Amino acid sequence: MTSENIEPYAVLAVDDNLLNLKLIEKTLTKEGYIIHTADNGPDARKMAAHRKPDLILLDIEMPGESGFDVIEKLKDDATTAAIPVLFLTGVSEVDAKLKGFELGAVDYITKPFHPQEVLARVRIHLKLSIATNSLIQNQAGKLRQVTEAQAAMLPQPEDFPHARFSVYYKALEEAGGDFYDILDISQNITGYFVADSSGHDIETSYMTASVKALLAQNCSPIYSPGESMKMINDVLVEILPQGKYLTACYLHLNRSTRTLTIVNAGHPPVVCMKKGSAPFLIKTEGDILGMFSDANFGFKKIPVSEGDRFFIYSDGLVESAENKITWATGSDSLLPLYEGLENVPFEQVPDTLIGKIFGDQPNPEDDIVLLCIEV
Amino acid sequence: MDFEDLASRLGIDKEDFVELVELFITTSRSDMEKIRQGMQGKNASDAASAAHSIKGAAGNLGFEQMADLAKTMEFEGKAGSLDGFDDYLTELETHLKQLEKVLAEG
Repeated sequence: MTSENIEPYAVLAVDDNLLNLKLIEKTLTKEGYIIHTADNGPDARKMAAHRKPDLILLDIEMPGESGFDVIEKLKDDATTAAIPVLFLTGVSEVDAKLKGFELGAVDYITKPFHPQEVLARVRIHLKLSIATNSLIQNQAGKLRQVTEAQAAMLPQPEDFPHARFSVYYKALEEAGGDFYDILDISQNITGYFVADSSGHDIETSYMTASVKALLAQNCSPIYSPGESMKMINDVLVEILPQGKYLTACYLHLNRSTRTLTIVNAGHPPVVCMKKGSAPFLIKTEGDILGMFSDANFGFKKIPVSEGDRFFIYSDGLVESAENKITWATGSDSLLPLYEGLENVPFEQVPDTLIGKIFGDQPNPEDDIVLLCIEV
Repeated sequence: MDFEDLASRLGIDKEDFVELVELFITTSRSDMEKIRQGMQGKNASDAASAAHSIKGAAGNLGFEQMADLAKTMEFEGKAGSLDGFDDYLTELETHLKQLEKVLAEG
């Protein structure tokens, strides 16, 4: 949180056991930390939102709202989501530890705890948190030095055969606000990214190049899809000119675990065509990319099977200024057009769909990207 | 029982440790009262969570015998049994009295 060294770091300790709270308070206060304490979940959440501590120590077993409930709610709230949480748990409770990590905690301390261990772990996680923040600043700094906008190369399906995607891309001459990218995260994990940036000018191509570089840096196996988007967002907030932003959708497909994670930043909903069933929209509300440092993106994780198809597209596909259709309504109305596409080879799906939507109309009103992915 | 030694093991000074022990005695008595209420109302799970609280606090201060005793009570309470809890409470009270004695001696 705080990057200045002048202000002492603040830690929020949450435990229904007053003695444990007091012990933590005494230990950390002596080392110069500011300690806030709460003995129940709701108070802890209020205090976290209000005081914005640099780190939270959280007991799991509490009456009423448990530590798990508290982490879940803290991570759902944009103002508290980035605060590292360390939880306190019994030594043998493996399930509790795993659940804590799954919910977004950074580490745990076993009980009974030794105050010096608490201190050591608080220190190391504050250091990590500071390092992550400075990494974001560092990446932003490097990108600021880019003076010439570079036309980003759009990856072609034949260059990424294992990614199994097909694409329709059309940019209006004077525009170029839409863009997509494919990311080899690991042998069986692929990232698919589609974005539409506000405005149509020279800055847009600079933005495209920046986002492409950011995707390459941040979409790696060590970050979850949500974390990758959060890092990219934080850098974009730093570098984008005022009023500039993107809507984007990021699909993270793990073909080993057969899981698809969708992170949606104000982008039209993904169309899902499960093999043998009717197409439907996966609606995930979320903030746009590059505007708010505390952005909260739409998030969905779903199991997938071989042959399932997913479509990400820009609003140019479904919106029409002339006919006053927005993607909120346009996406729904297009669903019937996806039916019957199941038997079309997926390489031809984007062109077939575009043909169905626009017929003989020669010029769409906006840029269009349509990405089709097959599991 | 050497408070100086226990305090240094926790990395805090004796003065702070004494303060924590005083707090521990107060909170433990209040937890023991909850256990008694649990016994009266035949509510073993309430008694178990009060025992859990004593276990955590005693464990953190290094009072291992009390922590073990409270752990047994928590375990049995969670299993729905309140057998022998009268004796456990008496034993806990003995430990608290002993702590008070050490406190009084300074």
